[in-house]
Amino acid sequence: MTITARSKTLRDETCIKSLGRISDQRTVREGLSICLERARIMTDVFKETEGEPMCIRRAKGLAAVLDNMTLFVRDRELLVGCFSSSEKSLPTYPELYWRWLEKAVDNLPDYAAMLSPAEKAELKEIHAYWKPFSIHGRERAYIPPGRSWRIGDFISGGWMWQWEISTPDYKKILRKGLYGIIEEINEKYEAVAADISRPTRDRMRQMDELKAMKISVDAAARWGLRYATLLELHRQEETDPLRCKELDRMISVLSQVPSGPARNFHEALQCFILITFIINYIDQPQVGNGIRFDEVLGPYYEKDLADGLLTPAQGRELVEAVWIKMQEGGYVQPPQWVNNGGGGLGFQTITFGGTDSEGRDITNALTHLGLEVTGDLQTIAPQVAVRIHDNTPQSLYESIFRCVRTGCSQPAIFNDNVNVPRLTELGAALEDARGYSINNCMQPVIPGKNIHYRAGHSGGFLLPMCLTLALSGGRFDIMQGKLSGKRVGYPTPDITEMKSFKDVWDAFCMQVEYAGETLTMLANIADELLREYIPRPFLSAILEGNIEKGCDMRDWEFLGLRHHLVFGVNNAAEGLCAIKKLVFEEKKLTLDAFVAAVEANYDGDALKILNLINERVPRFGNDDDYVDQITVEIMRTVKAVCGRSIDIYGNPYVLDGTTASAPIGAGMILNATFDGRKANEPFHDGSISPVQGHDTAGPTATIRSVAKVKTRESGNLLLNQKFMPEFFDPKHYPVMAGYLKTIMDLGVHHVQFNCVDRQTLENAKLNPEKHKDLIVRVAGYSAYFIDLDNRMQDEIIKRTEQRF
Amino acid sequence: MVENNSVGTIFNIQPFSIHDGPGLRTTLFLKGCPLHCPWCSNPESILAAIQVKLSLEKCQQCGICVETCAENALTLDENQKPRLDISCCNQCLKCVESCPSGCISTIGRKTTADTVVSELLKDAPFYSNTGGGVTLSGGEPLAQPDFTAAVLAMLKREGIHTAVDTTGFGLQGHLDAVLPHTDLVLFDIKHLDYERHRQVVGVPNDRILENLKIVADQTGFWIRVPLIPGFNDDIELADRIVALGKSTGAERVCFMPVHRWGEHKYPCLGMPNTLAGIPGFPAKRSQAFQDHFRHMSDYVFITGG
Repeated sequence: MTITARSKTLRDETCIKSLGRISDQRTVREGLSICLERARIMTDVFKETEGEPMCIRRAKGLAAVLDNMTLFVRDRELLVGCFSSSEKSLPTYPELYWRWLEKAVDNLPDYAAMLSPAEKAELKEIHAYWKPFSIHGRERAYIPPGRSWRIGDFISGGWMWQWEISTPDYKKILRKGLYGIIEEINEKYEAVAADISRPTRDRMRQMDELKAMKISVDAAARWGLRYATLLELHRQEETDPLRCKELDRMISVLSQVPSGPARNFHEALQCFILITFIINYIDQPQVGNGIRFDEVLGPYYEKDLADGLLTPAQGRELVEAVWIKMQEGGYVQPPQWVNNGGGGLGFQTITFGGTDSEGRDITNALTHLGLEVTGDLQTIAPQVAVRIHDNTPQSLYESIFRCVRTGCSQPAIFNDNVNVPRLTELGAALEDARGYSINNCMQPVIPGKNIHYRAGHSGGFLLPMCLTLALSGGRFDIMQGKLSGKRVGYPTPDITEMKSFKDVWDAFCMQVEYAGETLTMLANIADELLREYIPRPFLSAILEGNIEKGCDMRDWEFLGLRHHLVFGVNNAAEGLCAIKKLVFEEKKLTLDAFVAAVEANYDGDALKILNLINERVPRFGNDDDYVDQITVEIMRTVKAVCGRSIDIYGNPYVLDGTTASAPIGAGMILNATFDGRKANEPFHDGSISPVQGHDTAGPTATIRSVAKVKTRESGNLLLNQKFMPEFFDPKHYPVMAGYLKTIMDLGVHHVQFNCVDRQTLENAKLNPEKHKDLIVRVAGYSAYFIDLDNRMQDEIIKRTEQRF
Repeated sequence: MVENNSVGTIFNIQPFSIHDGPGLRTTLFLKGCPLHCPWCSNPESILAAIQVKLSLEKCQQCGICVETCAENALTLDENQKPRLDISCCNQCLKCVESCPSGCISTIGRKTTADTVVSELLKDAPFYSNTGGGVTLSGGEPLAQPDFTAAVLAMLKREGIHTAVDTTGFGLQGHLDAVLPHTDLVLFDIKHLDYERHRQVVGVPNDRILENLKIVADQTGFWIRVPLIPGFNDDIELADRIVALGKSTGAERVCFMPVHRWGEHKYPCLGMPNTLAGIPGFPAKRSQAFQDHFRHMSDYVFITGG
């Protein structure tokens, strides 16, 4: 089946919010603007509520936005929802950040074009209020001299203040409606209010928290009704009888949800969209989603089909409508994150497959339908993940391959045999672990459970830089590319004192340790600031345990999954490998000469050293233990450092390898490294993928290399493989299913397939206008190829094609 | 594993093959072939000895290689870059070491059966999950019978499905050594006419057709036919080959339209480019075969094109 004409029109007319560089020409999509409504309303509320408890102020702020924001309905759409005043605009969040945005609209034409002069003046006025309060900026007071987060020092990262991931209990919302949740809040409130034997401070705080939840949940329920009212106005003006019928149905749907329980598939999908938009775009920018789409919504779909309330074609069009709504999402991103976030997008991931809490497969009709729509619609959002386990039916493998073959680079495939035990090891109950889903960053979350990822500060171990610092005594001058100058890392010994590979390795480990300390300090400051200043009463109310505890979601942690990211492990491993082999074993060059070559960016005479590296140094991804074991050791080291890093709730950090395209972005601004990578070339993507073009021994050897890095001994790791479309021809499904099963048997956490031929990519680079729909998987997410920076395009072209 | 020091010459181990037998396979390419098919897409497989290959992108036009070559197999062309003539080359390989720019490399390596088998076993989990295994191809595996038999026997001991891709041109004794360890033979039939076969491929086909019967008696096999325009691409001949497959008990017959991906290899190897004289296989013709055998689509397969 193909998508309906309506879906096609809506999809084509949707303004892609990606802030990717369009073939190096722009940093912002043309026609995209900033909507100040949210920021304006929020600011007014904060001015009016000074002195009130922060949770109440936040709740009143959200309520005022939901009550007063402009609503719109797109032409002929079946599911409604919005987060700014037009489909071509994005809100901003001045309580979280202002400085980079102000700089960007002042200095960068693409950003400046997102606002009229009057709006720009208003934005500055809004910012003027928030300057002392906005949490991005407050951290500066708490960072000691000599420690820094900047890219180029030794870690990569930035103050995002906008990544946070938790998945509400959609099943409960659909079952009870928001009014049902308000009843729960009321009950708890009355109990707390009456219980004056409680410690007074606790009692007062809990009453405030519960009151804040009630204010915000009430507002969310009213929001749906505002939409019903708006649709009635459209209905009065509508002349097409078919559309009138649709509008009648939509009015009925929005009169019911999200305030009341969802009675059918249409209501369930509409409720899901509204809740998702509130928590991910209106309340706070939150990447993630993490709904198990088939598990939560499949029963509604199957029941409606069985009861004759819905035809398969109607059901399919509603799913298409959800995908288009997801495609509408997006955030204004800091300019320096345009590469890191790749094409940028709404960052919402929907999960399919897997098991129920008893371990039984949950594949249903909606699983197949969702994958089919993903392949047919060719949108970049939502990101789609599929869980594979021992009893995944063959039919689901086939749906996966059909989807991959369309060239949409979806879905990402996850291994239950790794994820479930890993979550139980981290402390989740087995039943909960079996219910995991995948968030946008390709991390496992447990739907409905209290927040387990925050990333106010998003940073990670930039491992190739740790190696550089190990050979510079912790000094680095990014402007000159010199391994000297300002001290930015740990003062490890001078290279003249390094007599063996072990000396280099030890210095490297010290730099990793120092990076870990700094990262942890920064991340914990960020988390404390979020806890203090950005409570989230609405999301708290729809996550398990907060009503019961009478507290905000930020007051506790369900599971210790606070993470540090890793970047460029294989670049670092190959650099260490080059030093081990060429300097200490074969004595083909001295450390001094090697450092000089790196400083010279391997140009001039240093080219000989680059040739030596390329000819003699084993590369990760070819099942060669010499280098693979260095990767393994690095990951163990980083994992141990993470284990010693404690988050603000007292849990150790975990290592996370789901860095989107940040390694590529980071590589683009960093100097040459010891693996033979020249300045500004990307690092390898996907945390454990081989360095681009270095995997020459075929896909199975790559899998064997990757499998050595045990996820449970390290962290989430992401492998990208690129295949020719021929591979996913139906006649090869059994072989491909076996291939995928083997990857899972070998304990690989997560694999993604790009399925497009090199010729197409090369053509698209030359003629972007002819390839607007071409989607590629970058690293954890899909993006339109033409939106990617040229260098990133080259990187994708270079990624080894797996041929037969 | 029982050690086996039987030595063979191979030129490639190709993991992830899906056209050389069932499931996901690793194909081991052996060097040396008694046939000289002009359409060969792996011309590096023909010579049994380790040979040299030029890659001239990095050539500095220093001429050292030409001075090194005592046989005049290397001469300078009009761009002062070396040109190789394999008919003069005695595979002394001295030029490889002499080149300061790394433009001359070798193709092929000698290896023992146990070394290569431990390499092939690395993908064992992939074979078992996909119903795949290992295929020995070439060159001609029967041309290195001891090595081939040793590798196959060791794989069988490890429970791996084995296939042999052969021209069918070999001595009966060699077949007898190899077949007991072979689950599937991919048996090439190029033409049924004795004289046409001899003219084009360099050897007659009588022994090949005899060997087909021997294979048929001992193991499962597929018949594979490279389709070459103007040589064997007529439907009537195809029908006769399919009938031969049926009568001998072949599990399937595969027609494989010729492709030209190997053409660039000939000059690098100093070999006359015989593939240049072979026209591409038109998609229309391929479709005609598809249509003709549509009623037998579970027996006759037409790949690629």
